[in-house]
Amino acid sequence: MIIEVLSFAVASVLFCLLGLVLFTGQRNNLPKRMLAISALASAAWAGSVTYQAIYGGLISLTLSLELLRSLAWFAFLLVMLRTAYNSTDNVSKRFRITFAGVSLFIIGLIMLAIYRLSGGSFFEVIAGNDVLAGYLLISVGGLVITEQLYRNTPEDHRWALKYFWLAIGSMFAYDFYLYSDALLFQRIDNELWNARGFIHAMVVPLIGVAIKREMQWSLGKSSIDVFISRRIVFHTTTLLAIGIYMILIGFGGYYVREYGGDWGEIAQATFMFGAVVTLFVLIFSGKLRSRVKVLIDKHFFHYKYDYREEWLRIIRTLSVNSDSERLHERAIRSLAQIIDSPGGVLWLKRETGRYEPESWWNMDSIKSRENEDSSFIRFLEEQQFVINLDEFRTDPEVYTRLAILEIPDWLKVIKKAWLVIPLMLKDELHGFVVLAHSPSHHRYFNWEDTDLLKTVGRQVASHIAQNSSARALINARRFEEINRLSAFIVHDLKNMIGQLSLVVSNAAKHKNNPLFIEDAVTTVENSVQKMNKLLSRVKGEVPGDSLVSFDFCSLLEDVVRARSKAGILPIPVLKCRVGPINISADNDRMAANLGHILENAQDATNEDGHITVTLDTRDGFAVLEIEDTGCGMDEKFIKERLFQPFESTKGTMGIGVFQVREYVQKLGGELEVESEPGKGTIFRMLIPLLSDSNVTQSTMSSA
Amino acid sequence: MIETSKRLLIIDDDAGIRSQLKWGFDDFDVYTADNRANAISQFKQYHPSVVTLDLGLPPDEEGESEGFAILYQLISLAPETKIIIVSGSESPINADKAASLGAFHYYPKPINLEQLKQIVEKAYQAYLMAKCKK
Repeated sequence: MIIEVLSFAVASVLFCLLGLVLFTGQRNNLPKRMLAISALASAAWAGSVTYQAIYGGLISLTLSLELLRSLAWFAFLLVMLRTAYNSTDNVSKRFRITFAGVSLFIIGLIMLAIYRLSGGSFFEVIAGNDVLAGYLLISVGGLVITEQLYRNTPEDHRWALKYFWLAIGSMFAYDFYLYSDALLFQRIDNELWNARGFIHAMVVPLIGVAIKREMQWSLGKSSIDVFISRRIVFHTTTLLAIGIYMILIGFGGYYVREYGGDWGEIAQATFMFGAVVTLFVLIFSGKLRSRVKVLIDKHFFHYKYDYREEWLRIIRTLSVNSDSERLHERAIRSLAQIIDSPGGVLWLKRETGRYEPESWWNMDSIKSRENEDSSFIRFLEEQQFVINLDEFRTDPEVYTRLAILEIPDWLKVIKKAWLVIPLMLKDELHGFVVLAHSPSHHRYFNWEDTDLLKTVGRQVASHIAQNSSARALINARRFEEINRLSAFIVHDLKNMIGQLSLVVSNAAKHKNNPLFIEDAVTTVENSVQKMNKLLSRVKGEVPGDSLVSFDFCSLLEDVVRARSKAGILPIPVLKCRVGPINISADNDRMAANLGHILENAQDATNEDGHITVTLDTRDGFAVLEIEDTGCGMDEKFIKERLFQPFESTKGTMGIGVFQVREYVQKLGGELEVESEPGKGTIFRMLIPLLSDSNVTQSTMSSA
Repeated sequence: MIETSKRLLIIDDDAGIRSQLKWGFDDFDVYTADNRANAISQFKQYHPSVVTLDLGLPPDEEGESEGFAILYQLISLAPETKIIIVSGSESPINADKAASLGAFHYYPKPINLEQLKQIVEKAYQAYLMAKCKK
C-alpha cells in the first residue's frame, strides 16, 4: 500500500507542478492551455488514487478522473494534430480528427455508464471485461494519435517534440500493457498498478525537456510559449528548499531519538525547535531572499529585454539627426525609453568640476548643482551604481553598505525622481541622469534593468563627449582662423605704419627732391592698396589667394628661367610635350611652390647631374614631372618625414613639401613622389585641366 | 672699389618699405630684394656688409620660415655679414632663434627710421671692426 501511495503521490505532485508552471505563462494559446489542463487532470487523478489507497472509497471519482484525464490528453493531442495538419495544409484530415475526437469522447461516456451500472470495489469494476476493453481501446487510441502526430511533425521540429511524443506515448503504452495484462489474466496486476504512478511521474521530466527544447513550438500558427513567472519559481524553490530542510530535520530528529538514550526526547525537542527557528531566520532574511531571487533570475530565465531591439532603438535615438531635439534630450530619452520613464534631467560635468543641469525632457527645469566632492557624486563615480531612490528610501543599507551615500536635498525634493543613472566616461563620471517614475516598471525593477541602464549610460556618455569634442574642434578651428586673421592684420598694420613713418622721416631730408615725392606717392598708394586688401579680408570677402586661369607651360618656363638665374647647378631642362594648357590657380603661389621643388632637386643633385621638368596631360590632368638624378630618399623618409610640416633635409625651416602638397590638393590635384636612394627622385604633380571643361561648356552653350 | 663703400641689402616683400628705406639710407649703397632667390643672387653679386631681413616673405608671408631659411643661407655664404632681422613677430622664440642662427640684431616692427639707422650703423661698425681684426 505504501508503494502505491508513494508512487501516485509523486506523480500527482509532479503533474501538479507541470500544470501550474504551464498556467503561469503569459501567452495563453490553445495547445499550451490544453497541456496544462491535461497535466492538472493527471494530477487530480493520481491524487485521488493516492487518497483512495490511504483511506479507501472515492471509487467513482477515481474512475471518472482517469477517464477525464484520458480525455484531456486526447484533446491536447488532437489540438496538436490539427495544428500539425494545418502546417502541412492537409485540410481534409481535419474532419477525421474532429470525428475521432468526438467518437473517443463518446467511448469515454459509455465507459462511465458501464461503471455506474456495476458496483463493488474499484478492482472489481475494473475487472469487468467490457470496461477493461474500453480502457484498452483508449490507450490504443492514444498510441495511434501519438504516432500520427509524430509522423506529421515537420522534420525540423522533431528534435524538440520527440520527447513529447515519447512521454505521452509511453504513458499510453504502459496503460495498454497494464490493461491488456488485466484482460488476459482477468485481474489487475498489483505490481504493475503500483508502478503506474512512478511511470507517469517519469513522463513529466520528458515533457519538461520538450518544453525547454522548443519554447515556441511553431506547429502552424499556435505555439506553446512557456513563460515561467519568476515569482512562482522563486517560491517553488523556497518551498523545495524548505521541504528538503524539513526532511533533513526529520532524519536528524529520528537519529537523535534513536541514539540519544535518556536524553532522546529532550534532545529531539531541542533539536527540532532550533532547526525550525533557523529555518524561520533564513526564510525571513531579506538579503538571502533577494540573493536567491537574483540567482534564479540570472540563471534560469530568459532575459527581460530583447537586447538586440533595445540596442537598435538606443542607437537610433542617439544618432537620429533632428534639429528639433537636441542631442542631450535624445540622450535622456534613450535612457528613459528603456524603462518607460516619462521624463528626465541630464547633469553634465563642467570645467569647474561642478555638475550642472544641462537638459530637461518632460520635467520641470531644475537648477540645482552638485559639487564633485559630494558623497553623492563620489558614490556614482566609484560604485558606478544606478541609484533607485525608492529603494534608497526604504532600504538605504543596500547602498550605504558599499560606500557613504547621502542623497542631496534638492534631489529629495523632486517627487517624480526615481532613478539616478551615472554616465561614465572611462573611469570618470561625465554626468548623470535623473529619471522620473515609470508607471509600469515600478515593481519589477531588477539587476537586468540596472545593468542595461548602466551600459547605456556609458554609451550615452561617450556619445555626448564625442559630440562636445567635435564642437570644441570646430571652435578651435574658428579661433585659429581668427588668430590668423588678426596676425595678418597686425602684420600689415605694422608694415603700413613703418612705410608711412619712413615717408615722414625721409621727407625731412628729401622733400625737395621730385624723385622722392614720386616715390612717396607710390608708397602711400601702396599703403592704400594694402588697407583696402585688409578691409576686404576683415569683411571676409577674399579668404586667401585668387584663382586665375593661365597657361601652365609658360608659367613653368618662367619658373625654370628664374631657377637657372639663381646660379645653382645643374640647370633644370624643361620639356613641354603639349601646347598651351590652362589650369586654375594662383600664379605666384604656384610659381613659388614649383620653385621650391626645383630648388630641392638642385640641392639634392650634384653639379654634373640632370634635372628634367616634363609637362604632359593625362585624363583631364596636367601631369608635371620633376625628375632629378640626385641622392634620392628612402621609403621610410618619404613615408614618415617628407610630407610632414617643418621637415627638411637641409635643417632649415623652408616651406616643406608638405605645404606644396597641401596647395596642390586644394586645387583638386595630387602630388606624388617616387624615389630611390642614390638614383634620384621624381616629383609628380597632377593639376586638373581647365581647357577640356571650357571646350565642352562653350560647345554646349553654342549648340 | 666697392670694398670701401657702405653696402646695405634690404630684403622685404613690401615695395613701399623697400623704396622708403632706400631713401632713408641714402648714405649707403642700397640693394633690395623681395624674395629668397632674388636675395641670394643680390647677396652673391654685391657682398653687402649689412642686411635687413624681413622674416615674413612669400610664400610664407604670415610665418617666419622663409626668412629664417634666407638667414641660414646668407650666414653660411658669408658669416661676417651683419644681418638685422626686421620682424612683425615679437615672439621671444623667434628672437632667440635669430640670435642662435647668427643674426646681429632682432628689430621688431613697426620700423622707426631713426632707430633702424642707429642699429644699421652699429652693425656696419661691427662689420668693419671684424674686418680690421682679420
